[in-house]
Amino acid sequence: MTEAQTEILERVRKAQYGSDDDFEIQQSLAALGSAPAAPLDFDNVLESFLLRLSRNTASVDFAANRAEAVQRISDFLYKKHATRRVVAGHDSRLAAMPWREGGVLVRFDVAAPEDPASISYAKLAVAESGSVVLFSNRDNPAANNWLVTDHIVIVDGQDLVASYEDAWARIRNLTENASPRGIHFISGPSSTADIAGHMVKGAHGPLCLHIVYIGDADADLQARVLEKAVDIKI
Amino acid sequence: MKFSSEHFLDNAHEALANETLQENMALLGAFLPAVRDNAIDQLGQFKELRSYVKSVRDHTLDNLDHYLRQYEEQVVLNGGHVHWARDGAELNEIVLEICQQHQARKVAKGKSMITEETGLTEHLEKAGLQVTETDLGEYIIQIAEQPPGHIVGPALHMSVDEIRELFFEHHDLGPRELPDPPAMVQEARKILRQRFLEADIGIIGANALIAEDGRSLLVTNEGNGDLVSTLPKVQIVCTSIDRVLPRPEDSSALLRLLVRTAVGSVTTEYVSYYSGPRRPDDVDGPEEFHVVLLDNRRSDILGSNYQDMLACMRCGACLNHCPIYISTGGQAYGSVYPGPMGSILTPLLNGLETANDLPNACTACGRCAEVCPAEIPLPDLLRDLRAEELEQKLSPASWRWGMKIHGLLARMPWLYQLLTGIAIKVMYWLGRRRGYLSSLLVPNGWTQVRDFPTPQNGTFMSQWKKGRR
Repeated sequence: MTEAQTEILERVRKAQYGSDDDFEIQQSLAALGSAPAAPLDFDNVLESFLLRLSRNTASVDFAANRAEAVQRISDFLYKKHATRRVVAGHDSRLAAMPWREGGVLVRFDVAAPEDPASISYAKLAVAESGSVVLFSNRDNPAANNWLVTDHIVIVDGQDLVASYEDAWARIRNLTENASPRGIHFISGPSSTADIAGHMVKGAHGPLCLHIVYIGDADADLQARVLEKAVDIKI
Repeated sequence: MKFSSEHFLDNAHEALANETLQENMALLGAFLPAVRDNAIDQLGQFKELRSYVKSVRDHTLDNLDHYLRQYEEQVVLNGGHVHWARDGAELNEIVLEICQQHQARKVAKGKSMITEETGLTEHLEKAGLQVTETDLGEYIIQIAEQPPGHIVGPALHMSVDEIRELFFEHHDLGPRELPDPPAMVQEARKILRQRFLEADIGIIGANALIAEDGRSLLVTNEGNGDLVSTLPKVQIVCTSIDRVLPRPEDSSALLRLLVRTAVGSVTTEYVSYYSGPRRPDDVDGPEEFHVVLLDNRRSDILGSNYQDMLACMRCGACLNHCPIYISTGGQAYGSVYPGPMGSILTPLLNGLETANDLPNACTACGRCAEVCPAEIPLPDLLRDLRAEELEQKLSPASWRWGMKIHGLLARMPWLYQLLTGIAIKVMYWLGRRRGYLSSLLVPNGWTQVRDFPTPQNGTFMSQWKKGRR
């Protein structure tokens, strides 16, 4: 312990009102209960999630299964970049997808500055904020989230939760044995309003966040979301 | 304008005469409160949520040594290093030493209020390092060589035209038009992308520290903070001892309030929790991870009448709703913390004697307390600081005498009414021909810029007694 640490902690101890007993502190924290929830936009958790993302100018696509997701991503890449090359981490779910059938050439690596697009597979998704949750690790190097122009994120329907509290309960389970360097809630393309308050999408990170949702989503819901989604000009 | 709280009054006069600043501030003062109100209306339960967050913050501050120790243990378990700094000079020296150990030449910074408080950039630059602020607003004021004007949008006091001229002057990119903000943002992206890639050291701040898992929370929209946390080989988090919260859920509850009150959104694009260096299996990320915890008088504030101030989440809502801040802009305060929160924090951190005008920069309208997501009684704390200012005889003698006389008269209403009755009659007699007075002699602030109408029909109390209600 350095001299500075000893002095600061001593000053803190003298000034505070709390307990010296760790168990008492835990009990007093637990007695505070949990935070009031933020309301969802709709009763339907999926619709809330997707519309929140769309409002945040992320684009959304739907697939019934992983094979269809490959096709959707293939179309997206070719229309935007006239190539089907893309970079991705070593997530086993990504490795198991039939990329060759969709003509997609995946490089399982860390993104380089010249990479136009990357693919990540979300650990979770949160309806409350319209966020996908990614970990920074070998499965998904952090550079793949921020260095590319277009960030494509696949979300499994079973991984969608309503609130932050639900998300943390799942994250605790997922990180029990291996704590990743970073846990990220990503909710849209990078943006800034630092020039006189003008909102500009595409600051230092990706210019586009493209979500491919795999799961049951009825045609009406898909139509409503796609209607309200931004025109991403692909 | 001098960036010093001692010059607040002169700075404020200068700011009031700056037409461009006045236009920019009027826009800010209309837009940010409107988007905040809309987001809070949609949230519902604002008061319940802020009471809950306050209860967690109070609990944490009451047991701060426990949570700081827990946080440190977790950071170390995650492979990181924790440093403790009693004041700004110690923080600056710790960071410089880390840079020197790695023979670093280039530093990329994400937005960090703490390093602005300590003047870290200047310290590193003096030692020969190239330091780049990468948040766009911070970058703009860095090349403009200006202090920040707002804690969330440091360059929001500048117009599009001013920023365009700045880019023409500082970016050697040949003839071009930069017709609109998107073009300007793209230019900054191009310039700064290279700085991210070249940086040896990445420095970020923290919106919260999580004791349970040793993670630090970073909330951004631009993605600069995440690039700074990912590309350089060393990551340093500069933060203060009051940022710690017990559990990750507590930081999410805080986020529900912070983002809505700061920018009127449900969330920012990126909410990241960082802990430690790259893991053995990882293929990117920093090789070293450091946290520097700054005290700088916060342990004095803890347990004092001003402890609530340690709950401030730096959302800027009190600035956006303050008539003084919107009139003068943030730079007039001469501190990285302007507006109501800054008028309390600056004297507490730097000493009341260097910032005694700031607690007086208040109309007591109470809007700041209404919108504060941390439920800080800002007007009460400002009043307490004014009382201290009086006790310490920091205000001018004429002001102190005036307050004493006012206090005396307030306790003797009959004398107050007698003297004001005489004063009204004298003023009426002096201005009876012209209908106005061009000077009030002692309280002459009013008549320096306008005439004072001649009082009619006696004092309010005399009219009240006559039944003119």
